Amino acid sequence: MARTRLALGAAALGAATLVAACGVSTSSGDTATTATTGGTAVWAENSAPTAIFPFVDATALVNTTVQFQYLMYRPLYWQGSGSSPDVDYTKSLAQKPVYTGNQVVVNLKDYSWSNGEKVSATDVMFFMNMLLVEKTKYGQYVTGEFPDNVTSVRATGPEQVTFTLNKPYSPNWFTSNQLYQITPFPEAWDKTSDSASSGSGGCATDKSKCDAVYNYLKDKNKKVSGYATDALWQVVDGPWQLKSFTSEGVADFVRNPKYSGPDKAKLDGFNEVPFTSQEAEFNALKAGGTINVGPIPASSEPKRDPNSSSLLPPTNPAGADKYNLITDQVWAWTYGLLNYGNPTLGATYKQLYVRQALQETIDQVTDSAVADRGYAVPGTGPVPNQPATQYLADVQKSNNGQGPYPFNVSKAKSRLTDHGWTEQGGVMTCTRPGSGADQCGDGVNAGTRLSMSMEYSGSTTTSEVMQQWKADASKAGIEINLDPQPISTALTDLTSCPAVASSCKWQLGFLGGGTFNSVPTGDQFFIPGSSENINGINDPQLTTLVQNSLTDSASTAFLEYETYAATQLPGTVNLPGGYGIYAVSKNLGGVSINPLQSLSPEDWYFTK
Amino acid sequence: MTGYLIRRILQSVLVVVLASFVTFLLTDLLPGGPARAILGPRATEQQIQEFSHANGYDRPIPVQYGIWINNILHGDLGYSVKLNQSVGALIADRLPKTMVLMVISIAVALVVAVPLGIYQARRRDTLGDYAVTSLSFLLYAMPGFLVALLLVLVFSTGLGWFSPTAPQTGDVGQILAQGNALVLPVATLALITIATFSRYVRSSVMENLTQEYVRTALANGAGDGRVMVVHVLRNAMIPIATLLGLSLPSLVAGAAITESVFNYPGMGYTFIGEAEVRDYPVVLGIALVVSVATVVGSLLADIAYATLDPRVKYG
Repeated sequence: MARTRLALGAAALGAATLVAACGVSTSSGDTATTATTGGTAVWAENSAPTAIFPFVDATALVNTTVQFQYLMYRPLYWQGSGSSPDVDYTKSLAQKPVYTGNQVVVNLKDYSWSNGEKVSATDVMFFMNMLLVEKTKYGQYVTGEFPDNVTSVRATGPEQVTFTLNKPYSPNWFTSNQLYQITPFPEAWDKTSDSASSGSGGCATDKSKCDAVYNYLKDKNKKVSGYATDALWQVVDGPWQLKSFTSEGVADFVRNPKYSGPDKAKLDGFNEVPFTSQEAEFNALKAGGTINVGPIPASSEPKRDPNSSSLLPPTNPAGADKYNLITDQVWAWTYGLLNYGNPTLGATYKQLYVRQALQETIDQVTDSAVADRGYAVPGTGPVPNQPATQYLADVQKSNNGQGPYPFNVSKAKSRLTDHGWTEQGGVMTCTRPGSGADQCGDGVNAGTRLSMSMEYSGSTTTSEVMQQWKADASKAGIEINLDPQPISTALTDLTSCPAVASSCKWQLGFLGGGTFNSVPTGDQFFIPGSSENINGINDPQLTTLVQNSLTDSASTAFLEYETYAATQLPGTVNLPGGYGIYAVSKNLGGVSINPLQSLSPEDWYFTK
Repeated sequence: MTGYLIRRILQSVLVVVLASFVTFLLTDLLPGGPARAILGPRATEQQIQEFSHANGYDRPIPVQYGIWINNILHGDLGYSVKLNQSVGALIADRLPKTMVLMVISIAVALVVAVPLGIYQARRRDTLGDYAVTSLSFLLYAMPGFLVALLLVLVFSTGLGWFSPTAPQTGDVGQILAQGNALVLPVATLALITIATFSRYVRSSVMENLTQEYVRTALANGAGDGRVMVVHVLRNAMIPIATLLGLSLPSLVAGAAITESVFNYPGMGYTFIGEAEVRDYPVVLGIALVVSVATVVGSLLADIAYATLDPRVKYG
């Protein structure tokens, strides 16, 4: 599943949006009996897919579009398996890669396209050549990563591709976070006009020809009315074929009778229906008969006791007679940003004790129980706290799950006063400048006040969390002025500081957080110049640890990075990570949406 | 009259141009440009600049506007990168759906509001009049989304009589064939419109009932019914004709809230959704269409007024 740094906003802070993830538990009363074949299931989603060509730019890189594409065109490696974010090799087109030094050998399984041709190494090369030529137009491209870290790639057999990397990488990371991006293209797409023959475009064998093929496919991609009728898009290797597609994004799929994978669809059909609002979707759920799988809006979730052993609501708001409930845990990190580049407070934020104090003024337990209505857990570091995985280090689990800096206003205040801050007019002010152990720190001038603006975008839940933080922080002498903005404004304001620091106005920011690939490494968050590093983090030790976690296959390297990041709070504060609830028709079994939001209706079945 | 029409048409063109320019300017002044909003937070500065350059957002406003006008004159309303569709195709798809909903709603409102207003005028200051007036004020004061949600709660979720969502897809014919799915969204819009229209009809009929020509007709032996239908109604409908003409923009712009509640992706909802993500081509395209509808509606209202009232002459 494509990794995007979604502006999660409401999703990140617990509102049950239509972002789908894991189904780890079901409500009681599930009386599934006999699985049947046939029938059509309807899935509600919050936005319409907008592109069928699986080489999308950033504008189309949203979950609903990628889910839509993957139903028809399988990625080389399928991210997410059950409740785990790890690669599911059963659903992958290729076997587990073989790593030898900086060489990676990928052997394809025996898959075929719906036109009878084998999914071959040539199809992988087709994608790779296009990526090498058009990488800046590929939404998942990150400078320095895939394919920049590949020095050569070649077909070394009819169903074998060998990659030579610029250095050895952790196999787990490279497979999960890099190779998953490959979606083999059929030879039928390798052309530059409708009348041309398959393969005539030459991109699969000659990179210089890829630009023309890319432009042709990109133009075809713009013809939304042809998605279900154009023969080009009907060549699929996934379990589903598109039967109809409207400009509003209503997509009807039928089972691909020629699907060669092991997970053949039991349903006859699968429909995706986008909804204009959560209310409209929830009304349809409650009325019954329209949707088989759909989310429960956060505002309609009954309050849950955070200490309950069940993650599900105490009552079923969609109707226990019609639906079972499953959880929806997104593989994401919810965090606020501290702008190191702000001319007034940048130097202040760079002091560890200040970041610790800020973190200790965030009452995540109350946030989870009140603002999130019981559907969130405290965030304690850069690895998602839910679902629990092997990636979660002990430091993030410490203090009964509240991490290294649990809520403690008095401790936060002490940290500040111990470092030369004095409360003046209710706001901590630096009265002892300098770089000594009991002084404010390098670059923090005398008279600097801990009064800062927090620009954020999000839902009601987000606002409540921010209000709570403001209130608690004030008790420690930290003044936070809230500045809610529409998401488009916040996205423009909360960016990397330009060369002229004086124009870098934002101080604290919140855009929801970030989602991860299977392995939740920090390369896109903490390395200087990386896409998510908009707050100017530049910690050489952290950079080294992050890079080690990419190249060192030992799990200790990853845990070292995580422990350091969790304790250093680099340019960030952790906020509660929420999860949502989905309703599933009582007669529909096998529904499971993993933390990476991969959608697999081929595993669903109606029961009788 | 011909001269008047020509002058009005020329004025209308100027109004549309002015409205389009103001809309263009205002969208550009909105905080947060389109590039970051569309490309997302992961976009690099280079990608932002490339996107802005490719779409002309880095050019001076007058130049951008000139290019846009030139494209429109060549039938190109632009392209929505976000939705991966041309704006023209998007409007061509959404507009009929919106018009179906709005036309039916207004038609239902008229069919109910006119007799209701007449009833209130003839039975003014009675219990029935007070009851209808109270109900009208209640509906008038209620936000549209509340009316919609209450209808869904009672008639869909509660009684299960009607679909909670409007027709989801298909052309106009297919939409009309899904009558059950049209009931609640039409009822939402119609109820609010009935509240407005019935008040106008009531006032207008009451005013006409006191006119001399009515007493004369009655004195000449005309029955109540004939007087009402043949004489009073025509004059009483003049303000309604004006209202209908001024409703033309809403036929085109739709009702964003109602569309949102009933999952009906019409013009209103599309406009709001794309404005939130700074999808300028869609915002400008829909604003242009609504501007044209507004001036045309105003013109039609004036023509209707002159047609219904021979005392009105445009020179």
